[in-house]
Amino acid sequence: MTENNQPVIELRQVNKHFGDLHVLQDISLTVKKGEVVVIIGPSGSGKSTLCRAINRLETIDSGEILFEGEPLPREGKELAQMRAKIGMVFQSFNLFAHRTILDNITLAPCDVMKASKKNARQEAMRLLERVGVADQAGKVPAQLSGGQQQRAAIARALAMHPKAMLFDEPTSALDPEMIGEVLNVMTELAQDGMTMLVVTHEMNFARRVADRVIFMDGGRIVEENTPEAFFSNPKTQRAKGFLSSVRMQDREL
Amino acid sequence: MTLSQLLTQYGDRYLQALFTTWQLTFFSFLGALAVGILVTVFRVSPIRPLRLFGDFYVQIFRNIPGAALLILLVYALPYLKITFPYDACVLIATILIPSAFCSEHLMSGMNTISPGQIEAARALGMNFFQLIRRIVIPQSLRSAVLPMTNLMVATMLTTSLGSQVPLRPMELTGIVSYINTRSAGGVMAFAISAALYCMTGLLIGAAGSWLDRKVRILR
Repeated sequence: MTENNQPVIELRQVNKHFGDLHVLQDISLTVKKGEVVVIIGPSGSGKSTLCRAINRLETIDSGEILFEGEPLPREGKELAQMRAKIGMVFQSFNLFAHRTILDNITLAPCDVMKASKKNARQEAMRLLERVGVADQAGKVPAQLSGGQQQRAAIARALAMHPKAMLFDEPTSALDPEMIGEVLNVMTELAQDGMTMLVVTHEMNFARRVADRVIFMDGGRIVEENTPEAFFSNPKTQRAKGFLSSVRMQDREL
Repeated sequence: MTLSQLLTQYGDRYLQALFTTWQLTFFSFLGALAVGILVTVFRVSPIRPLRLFGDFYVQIFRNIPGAALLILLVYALPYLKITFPYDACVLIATILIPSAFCSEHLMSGMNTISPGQIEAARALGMNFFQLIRRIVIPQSLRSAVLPMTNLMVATMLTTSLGSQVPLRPMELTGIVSYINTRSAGGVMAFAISAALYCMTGLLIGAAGSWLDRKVRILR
């Protein structure tokens, strides 16, 4: 079907500076419907900034970002409506500390989408079931482990029925034994056909789940390829260096 | 006069004054809370003139002596053809000044909210008012229970401004002047009011600690 080739997220010649630092340099990138794109690269390479720019948590200096063919609104109601269609998962979970897990998930559907309380609750419980934390629904975030919080955060994003999901280093703040449970949820999501952009250091996840891997360094997209091609045969020197240093760490573990 | 003389002669007046002080404190604090929240919303709003107004408001009412404000309300406003009854003047003064402090407490309570939560709310498509109403104000309030408790005690003490105008019924400070102009109540007349203020303050403090334990946000 042609539908599957429709770009959901599109960046054209995007530039951004933090003071003197040119953190995004002429970034052009397309994520098609149902595609899973994984962005890897050393810290400071601009990959998180890129991810955050897509729902305008970071502004850009020049270039264009389109979501479902529409340019990203600059502010106001239109921006809020656009953000509601893009799910975002953060490194530090960012659950609302004063509300229960269930409330965390129903809050935006009720407020933003005007869903009825009853429907929102049912949907929330279904999602919590799906990510495996339904038994924690009545607790507040601080009572959950990091892995449970992150899975609840994924459920919170899914409750808005997003057209695409952004993951900004979703496992970087987790203890090693909890990384797997979050990656499993993400893998299932990818298998269900969700359009995903994932910034991560999990090379195995990238290899298994990604349709495309993007390697960033120094604010540029240095390499873009299928995971097999990228991991077995990186073309650039910088990608080779990055991969070998990552593999070295893996061996040391 | 001795304690027992004072109590037999003026006991019911003291009780009435205590009740008046409680009433004033309650309504002043409630008003201060409402105005304080509103001003705080102004101070964090995306609209610059509102932010400036909010900051200006807080600077004015945090720095004006209560007596001066009351004098303005009672004696200056009538020149502008605005005349409030005495009790309204007292209530306005005891709302405006604590509301500035209330806003400051809320601003510091706001600092306990991680910026990530704000980003998450934004990413879910919440607008400014949803963000303020659902995330920012509830967390700020719940983190500011102890300073708000202090503020309520301070508000109670500020209601003694009521002694400077002919308030009926009188509050706890006014009653002392009333007694001392009629009989030689002396220090003991003050001491009774002081004890009643002190008792009220302790009650507020206990209630505040209880509430703080109950609503404190686990982090």
